[in-house]
Amino acid sequence: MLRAELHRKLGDFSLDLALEAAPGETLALMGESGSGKTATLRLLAGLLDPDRGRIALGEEIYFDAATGARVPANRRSIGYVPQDYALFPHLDVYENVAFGLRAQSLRGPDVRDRADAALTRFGLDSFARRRPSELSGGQQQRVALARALVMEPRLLLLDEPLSALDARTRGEVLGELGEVLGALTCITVYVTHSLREAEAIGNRILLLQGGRIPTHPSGDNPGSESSAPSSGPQPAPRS
Amino acid sequence: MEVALRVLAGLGAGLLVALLALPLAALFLKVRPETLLAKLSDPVVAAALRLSLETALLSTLIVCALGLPLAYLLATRSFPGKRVVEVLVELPMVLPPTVAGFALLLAFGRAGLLGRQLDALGLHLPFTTLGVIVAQVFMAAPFFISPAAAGFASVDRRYLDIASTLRASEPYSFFRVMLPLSLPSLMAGATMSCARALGEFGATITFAGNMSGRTQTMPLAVYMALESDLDGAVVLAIVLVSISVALLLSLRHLHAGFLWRSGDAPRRTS
Repeated sequence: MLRAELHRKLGDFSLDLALEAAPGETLALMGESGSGKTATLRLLAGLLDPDRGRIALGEEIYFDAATGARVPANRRSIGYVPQDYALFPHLDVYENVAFGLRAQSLRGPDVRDRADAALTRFGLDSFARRRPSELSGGQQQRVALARALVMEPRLLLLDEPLSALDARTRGEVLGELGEVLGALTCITVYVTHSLREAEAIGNRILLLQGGRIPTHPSGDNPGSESSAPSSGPQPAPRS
Repeated sequence: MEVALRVLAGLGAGLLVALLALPLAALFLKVRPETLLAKLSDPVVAAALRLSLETALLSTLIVCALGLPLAYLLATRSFPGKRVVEVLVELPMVLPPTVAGFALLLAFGRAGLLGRQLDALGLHLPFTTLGVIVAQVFMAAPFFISPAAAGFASVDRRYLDIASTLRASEPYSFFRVMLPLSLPSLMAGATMSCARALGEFGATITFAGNMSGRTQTMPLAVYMALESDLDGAVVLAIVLVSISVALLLSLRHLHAGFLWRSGDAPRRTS
């Protein structure tokens, strides 16, 4: 279970929101540019610290302003796919995917087995020795996803993963991505500004506006597909 | 008016190029190939050449080994006195070399600031080969540290962020992300630093003296030969120029080879 309460001043606006998500759930966080979507992911990943608040993933407390607890980004079980993928330009596809495994000092054969399995899973075997610059946008997106998922994270953060693709590719990749995310047992937070993507990918949609999740008088978030409260713990069944 | 300006600019540029090229041409025209070969085996010339290459290489290695962590700190951390350290690092670039040599004497000479302590350790820097290396390190360090720090600072923060979400520690990120992505700047810095060490004159002669085989590097040998052996001076100068040209060419070649690292991988969407 992910339970996060985030407060952070960002330039001229402040981010104040609470999130909850259960394992296997995909939470679509939807909002316009500058609404605080990327900052939310960076706070969850540990790349940015909240001014106040608390982040807990299962039993682990990643951040708690009250007690001063703070787990650095490299000790969190989090996979992060940024908007532009940020594939290491000097490493080939295989080394990009194996990067995190090697960072954990896993044994050579374990690194090979897991990296090979991830490449096969995402149909990247034949691109293993290519540099990121030699790949199409869709292929780069799959490498970024494979690199994050090979680490078996408990929380997967995706920041507008389709925005770097052209319209035609976006349609194709959306279906593939939905299938991949649907099969995951980890919690996924999917940031997008597209309602179509949010509906196709998310079990639950949260609308982020100016750093907040507004609620209707009824208490519902206007973006939520289900009638669950905006930060409600109960996930809607995957459609 | 426009034509006149163009002619004037062309003349100015041509004059400067001529000023840069003519002295070099004069050097190469001065000596006959057979004299060049004969002088290269002259013991004094050979000793200066060997000493210069050995000390310049060693001082470059020291500059790189000690400069790398300092450049990383300057590029990635804020700490009290950082501006002072930055100025200190850059100072030798603008300091008159003889002043640097004199300051080195006052610090590490027998009667200097640390003279007694160094004596107790059995270390004698002034007028020794070790002193040559210290003088070269002092003068050449900024030529490595400044570009290295700039190279580290220019590595896109996104790659380091991603590395940390992939459980990489800071040292791991340094060796697998920061270092390879800054390699062009580091190589350029090391090459410039080596060239500076090789050409060092003022600080060396002031701090280490001018003893053939021990502290007489090539620039010093050129200066001495000017008085007694003009052919020898020309040969030494040609060797120095050739090494400098080779270093510059290798720098350009390296830069071209690393162009792919300079930015984001171009993205094709299909």
